[in-house]
Amino acid sequence: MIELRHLEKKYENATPLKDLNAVIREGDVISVIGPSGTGKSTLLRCINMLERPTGGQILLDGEDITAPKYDLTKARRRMGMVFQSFNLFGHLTVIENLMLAPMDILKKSKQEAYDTGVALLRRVGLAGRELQYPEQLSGGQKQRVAIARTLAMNPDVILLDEPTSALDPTMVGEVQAVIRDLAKSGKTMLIVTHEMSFARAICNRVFYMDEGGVYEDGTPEQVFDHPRKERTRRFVRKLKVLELLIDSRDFDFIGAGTQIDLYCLQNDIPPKEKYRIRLVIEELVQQILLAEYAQPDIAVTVEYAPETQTTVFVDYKGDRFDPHDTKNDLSLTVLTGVAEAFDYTYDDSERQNHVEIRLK
Amino acid sequence: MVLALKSAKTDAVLINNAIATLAVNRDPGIAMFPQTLQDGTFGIAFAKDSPERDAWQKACDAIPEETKQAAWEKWTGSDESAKVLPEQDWPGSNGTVQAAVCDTLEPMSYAGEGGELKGFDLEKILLMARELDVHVEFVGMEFSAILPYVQSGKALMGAGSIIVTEERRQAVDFIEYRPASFVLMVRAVQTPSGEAKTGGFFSSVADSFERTFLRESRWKLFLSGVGTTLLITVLSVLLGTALGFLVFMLCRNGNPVANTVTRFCVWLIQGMPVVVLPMILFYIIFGQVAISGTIVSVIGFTLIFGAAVYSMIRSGVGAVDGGQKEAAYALGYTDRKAFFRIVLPQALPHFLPAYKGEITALIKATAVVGYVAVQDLTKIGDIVRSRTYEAFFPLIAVAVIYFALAAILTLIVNRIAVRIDPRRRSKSVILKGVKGQ
Repeated sequence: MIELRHLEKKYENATPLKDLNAVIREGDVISVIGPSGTGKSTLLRCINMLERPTGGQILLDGEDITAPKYDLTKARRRMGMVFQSFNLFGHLTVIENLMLAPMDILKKSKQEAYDTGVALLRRVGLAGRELQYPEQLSGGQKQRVAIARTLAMNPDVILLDEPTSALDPTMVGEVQAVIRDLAKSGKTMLIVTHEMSFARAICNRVFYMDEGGVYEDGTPEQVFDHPRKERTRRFVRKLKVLELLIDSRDFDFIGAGTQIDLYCLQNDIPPKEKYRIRLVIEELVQQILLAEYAQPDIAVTVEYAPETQTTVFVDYKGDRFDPHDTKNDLSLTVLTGVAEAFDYTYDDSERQNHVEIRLK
Repeated sequence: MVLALKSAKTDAVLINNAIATLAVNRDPGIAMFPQTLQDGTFGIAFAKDSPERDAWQKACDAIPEETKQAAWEKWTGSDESAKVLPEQDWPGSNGTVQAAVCDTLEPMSYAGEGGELKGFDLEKILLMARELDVHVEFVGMEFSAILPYVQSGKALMGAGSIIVTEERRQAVDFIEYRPASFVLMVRAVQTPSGEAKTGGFFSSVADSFERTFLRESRWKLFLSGVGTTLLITVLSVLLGTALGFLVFMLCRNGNPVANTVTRFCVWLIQGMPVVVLPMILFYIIFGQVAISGTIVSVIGFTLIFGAAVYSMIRSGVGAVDGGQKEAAYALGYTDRKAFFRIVLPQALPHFLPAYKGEITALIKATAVVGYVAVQDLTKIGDIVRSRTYEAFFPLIAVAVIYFALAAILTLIVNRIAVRIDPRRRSKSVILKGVKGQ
């Protein structure tokens, strides 16, 4: 129903979308997830051309809506949008918010618009609020009105841009309930959300966005339980990652120590854990590996997630060398002391040697 | 000044001989020093090198000396009933000319009963006109406006107690028609001031009231002044609002040309004193065009008000959050329709208070139109003051009328504001025509 081809959106100092390709089929309920700044909202706003893409095409039932002469109002009429900040019309009552566009755009009679409006309000649980003004409503109620306003135009697709992000935690539930009900009705929907369990519960497809495109596209099971790609895995497991690249013997280990401190502080990593991370890097990298390689090229990746074990990955370039074989017994003893698992593999990737240490 | 002398605010007044003669003839409590200072002549101004001046000069010379003297005595005398201009009963076969005359300088040139212009200068001009068989149309204005008016060719000649000086001679040519001098006026020894005040406070107030409003039906003058002020204000408000709105619509979507031009014009208009713009329009831009000062004032104040309205709409629209506009687009509204249905109704309440203030400011600002020969309320106050030699009543009256006018206009805008405020609609208005509520 909607096909995105080589979609690109460039701003002066950022390019959130570069060469994004995706197909949205009728009846799809798609959760768009991903780290902040990866263009999730931009994607939604491009689909209904609130942001004009700087490149690529958007085909709506085969028609290119990015074409200069295309009448955008035609496409927008078929695509409802729910905003993070509700954007209800402040000068109109709730019922007028629902009636205005059907009367103005679809040329419905006032009576018809009113009847539909009342029915929709009942559907989102706000019967009786017809004559209130938006500012008299709570955030959750506003968002439900906004959803009802979108539904009043009976769109083919509904785009929801972080619909619960601006809400009090206590109000998230009521809005999610309405969206869940909507998803069941078979409408095509795209929803940008940070609530993973909610996304998982309502959708049949997930777009994980990263690196300027749809990085991984699959069913919720695929993406959440068996992510195929590294960044997806880190994201869905909520991993906090620290990366260090040691590419010379003069590497600033003191500076790296500060970096580790900061990383631990930001991610609430307990001091005991921090001590172990530093210990692994000192013993494995400084004591064992630097002794082995004259021109080191070592990448260290630390992954931390609350309530799981921290893992340190050390990948390095050079001849095959298993740290278990080191002559530095002291360091090895220290390492095995803090590690629950300590595995070495070798393959023919760029950095051939891989060590994975799972901390106790 | 005569007023200051009579109320003993000053002890002597240096003033030209015409005013002094009139004052002395009228009021036995005032005397004139016999010595004159700085002798000169009164002149009628013509544009530099005006070809017609010589003909008029000849006509002036042809008037017998006795006639001139009789006219002088008539206008500086105390017999008010004699002070009537001669009818223009000659055929006027050589056309009609315009003469710019001051309307506040009794006895030479001033506005009498019903605002009708008269005075010694005017009679003089008519005497010459009879010789030349032309008709004269007098245009009353501020003294300072006369010479620019003549220079720009809007009138053939200008008069109004103008004393010829070297500097003025460089700007215009003169027909010199009467010796002028400055004399000292003082209170006469036996000032009958006690007598004047015997009536007590209330009767003197009543007396002032009578002189300011009732004598010579001066209330009619005030009424016409109010009419002029209202006309200029209301037209400028309506046209200025339309102009400001139109310009805003052109600039709304960031058209670079429209925005640059508008920014420049707004900067120009708002950076200029209010009094200067109508004067520039009148004497420079429309200098060679026969256009009434009222129309020029309306144009000037339309520009001023339009600039203000443009700025107001801009800030009002800016105050409406952009998300609602996006929501409207997302529902399928066009840009224009979203503006009129969603943005504008919410911008209006934002700028209406400022709009009301701007109207009040405008009605007060129109007080300067006297500079472009318009007899508005303030100007009428001046005219009456120049006749009654009394400041209190005309000034207070003018102030009170401005207050009242501003209050009425604000009231009207308030009414409109209530009507268009979407928040004040009742349920029956909102759901008009819907069944099964």
